[in-house]
Amino acid sequence: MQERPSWGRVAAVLATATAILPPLAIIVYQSVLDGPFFQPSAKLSLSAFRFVMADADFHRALGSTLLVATGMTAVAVPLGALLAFLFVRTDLPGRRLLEPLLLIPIFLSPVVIAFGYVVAVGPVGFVTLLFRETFGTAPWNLYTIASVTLIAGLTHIPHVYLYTASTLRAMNVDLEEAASVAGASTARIALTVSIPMVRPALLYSGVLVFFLGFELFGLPLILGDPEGLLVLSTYLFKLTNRLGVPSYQLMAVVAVVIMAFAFPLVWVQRRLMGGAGRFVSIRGKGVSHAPLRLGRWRWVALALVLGWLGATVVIPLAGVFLRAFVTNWGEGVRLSEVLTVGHFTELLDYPNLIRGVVNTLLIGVVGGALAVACYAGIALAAHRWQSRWAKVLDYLVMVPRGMPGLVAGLAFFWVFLFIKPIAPLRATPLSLWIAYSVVWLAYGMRLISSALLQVGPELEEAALTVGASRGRITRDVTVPLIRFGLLGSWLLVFLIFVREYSTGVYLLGPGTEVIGSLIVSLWATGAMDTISALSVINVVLVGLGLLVALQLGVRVNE
Amino acid sequence: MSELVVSGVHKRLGETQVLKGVSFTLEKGEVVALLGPSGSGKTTLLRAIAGLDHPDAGSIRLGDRVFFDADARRAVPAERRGLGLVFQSYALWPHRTVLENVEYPLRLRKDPKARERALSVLREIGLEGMTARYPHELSGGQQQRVALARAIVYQPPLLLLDEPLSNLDAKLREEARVWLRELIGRLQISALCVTHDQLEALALADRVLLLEHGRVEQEGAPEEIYDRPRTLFAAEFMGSNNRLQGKVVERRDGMARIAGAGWELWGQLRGDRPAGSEATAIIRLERTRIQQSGGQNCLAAKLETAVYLGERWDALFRIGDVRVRAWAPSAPEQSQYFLFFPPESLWIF
Repeated sequence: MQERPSWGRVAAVLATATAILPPLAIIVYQSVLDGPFFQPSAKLSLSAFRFVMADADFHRALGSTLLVATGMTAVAVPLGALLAFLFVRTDLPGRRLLEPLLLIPIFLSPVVIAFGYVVAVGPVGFVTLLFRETFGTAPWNLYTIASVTLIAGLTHIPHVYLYTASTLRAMNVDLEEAASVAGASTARIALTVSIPMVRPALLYSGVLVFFLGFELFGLPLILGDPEGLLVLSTYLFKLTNRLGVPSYQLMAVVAVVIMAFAFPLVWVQRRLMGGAGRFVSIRGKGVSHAPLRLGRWRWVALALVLGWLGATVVIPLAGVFLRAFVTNWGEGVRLSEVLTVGHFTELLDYPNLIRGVVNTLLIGVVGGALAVACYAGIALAAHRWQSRWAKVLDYLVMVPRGMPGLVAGLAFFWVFLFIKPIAPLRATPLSLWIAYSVVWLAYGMRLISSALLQVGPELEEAALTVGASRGRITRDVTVPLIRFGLLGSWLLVFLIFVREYSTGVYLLGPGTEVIGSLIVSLWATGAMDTISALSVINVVLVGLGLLVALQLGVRVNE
Repeated sequence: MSELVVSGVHKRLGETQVLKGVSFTLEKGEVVALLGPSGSGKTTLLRAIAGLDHPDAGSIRLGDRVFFDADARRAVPAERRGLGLVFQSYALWPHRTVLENVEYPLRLRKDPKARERALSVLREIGLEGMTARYPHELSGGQQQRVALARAIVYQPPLLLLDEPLSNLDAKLREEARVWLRELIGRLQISALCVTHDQLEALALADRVLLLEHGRVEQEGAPEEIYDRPRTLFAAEFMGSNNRLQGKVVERRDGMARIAGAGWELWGQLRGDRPAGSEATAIIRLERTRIQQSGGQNCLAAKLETAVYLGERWDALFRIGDVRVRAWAPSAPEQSQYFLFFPPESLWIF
């Protein structure tokens, strides 16, 4: 016997659908037209598809994308698993101090990281020049597909780490201890007991990293430029340049192709997530087990971890910071002669740059809070809802996940053009906020859901039996109990919004600048000074946010 | 008129048919225990009565209010039934103080005297010093009492208790048994208590319903269930028993002679077993008597081991292939004894 449908909940579903379906619809619609959708003469046709499929560059881009995605998965999964094992299961020295640092790459903007690599280990990078001075030669080339793949792999290790580490923590340690008592060495235990038991987490994070390979934009944009390396997202981005005119239908086709890869991967992830189990924080009798001893390998392991941190975080950030404080750089330039804060003071001369910084903060703090409120509203609507509508909501939330930021930004840009009444919004940060909130809907919902999972159903049922309506239960029981989770979610969404760079690219205009999209557009002009200053500001904002999160003990999950 | 009438309730959970047609009534002021092993459906039944889940078939009435009627497609949601429910985990709201927990139901009902009433109930229960504390600052026993206070503060016609004593440790459970019985009696509430612990059921209830696999096996006063079980399941579920498998050799006047490999005994015929059929004999451990010499209905037994339990010794004997336990007040010294099975206490099913 079904309960009466709750209209508040249904309204939440419909509101979500209104935000999610139009962007998807317009991309698909535009891809089957032979001209921009606002042109009266445009008619249905597959000419756009034919054009793109016949383009050699498109196929090169597709091939590169697949190569990079596969390669970075091959790099990230084994190393991520190793890192998780080292941190969770062994007596790695300094692991408590280092663990929070492991997650930094997730929150650093990829454009900032890429830029950092260019100024650090590019042909005239700090490290390169130093190396050349010391050893006579610097034998690496930053601008190859191999480098892109390697960097992408290294920066996605934290994703694998998160899932593997939480699975390892939740695992029954007795199994490993039994192996230890039976005489197995640490390495043997790792290979024959721990790794097989985290297989679901490895599989899931492997699919996730492969999927994220299709979303890569900043890294291939900045590192792929000099050698003309293209991936699907940068191919899409450069379509306008190549043909000289905005060819909406071609862009739509490429977007559809990207989504054609992304959606099945999202679906696979969802299926695997059911198997990998919900990663709820484990309460209960916390038995601490003695970690596995690494013996002589302790220092090798530590060196490995520090090496990875150095390569993925320290080097690019050092590059960014150094570049922001020097007037110029190259062979034979001495550091002490070129230090300056000029780049920062120059920013003040450009209103659009100032707006960019302010908007980033605004969207992060205020936009983040509003987004979390919306996510909470939707999550609460789906909470303990036995209905087909809840399933509908579930699937709706998956849709934006299959639209990478660049594609989503483009879609929303078109939506604002297409639906005349809301067109004025396009020039305000509101359009950016809507796009951001939709792109990160699945992420935000997951954050709130994990907070909701902590609320035992009996606490809500107890309120039911004493006579509270569902609305009152939400107000009096559920929301107060997830207060801390909401705060943590706000922080994490703030970090994600500040890091954002691709979604804002197509929505960029006077009034909708943010640091990330500014860096992307400035890259084409080669304004390295400005880019470095903006990057430093971005990193500082993220750093502050992370510090607050750490202080509050917010647990980071993907 | 009966307070609670449950009729023909069926409920399926996933693949399993958990409740297969349960019917019973509860009179005003009565305390009924739903007793059964895990999987018997007792918690499902309690939740159905509370309105937290809806059955697939049957009806549930309280007085002249119909809570649930599958045929009439009527289901009153839980928040409108006005029953009191004490959860096994107590389900106290951790972000509210004891007083706030207890006065919440009255605030929902917009009672102007909410605070006073809550305080008076807490006083009645013996927790007036704890009103400003938070649930995590209380002991298990105190939390249970707060949960109880919250469930009775709005004077529900029926109080539902889900395994009320199972979360308490052994010593506390003993005291709580007596205390709970006394409180329910004093407040003169009707109560329905779900438990797998027979001691709980026997101590708290006026009437016991024995549930097995979604059906009521037997119902009656505690003494009736314990001393006059009608089925093998009922006999075995209660108390601690010895079980002897054998064949019915002879039947006479409601008694029967059961024989196994190398032994035979007279006992009370409970199930209707024809002569020559396989049967099971059950006798409570406390009725099995250890003797020095043999006699009618006695069997020679070899002592295997004895376990000290403080108030008695639990001795394990061997009679041929069969193992039999009996209680002794002091440590059994010899290796050979006789065990006496009083025929009226040996039940044959």
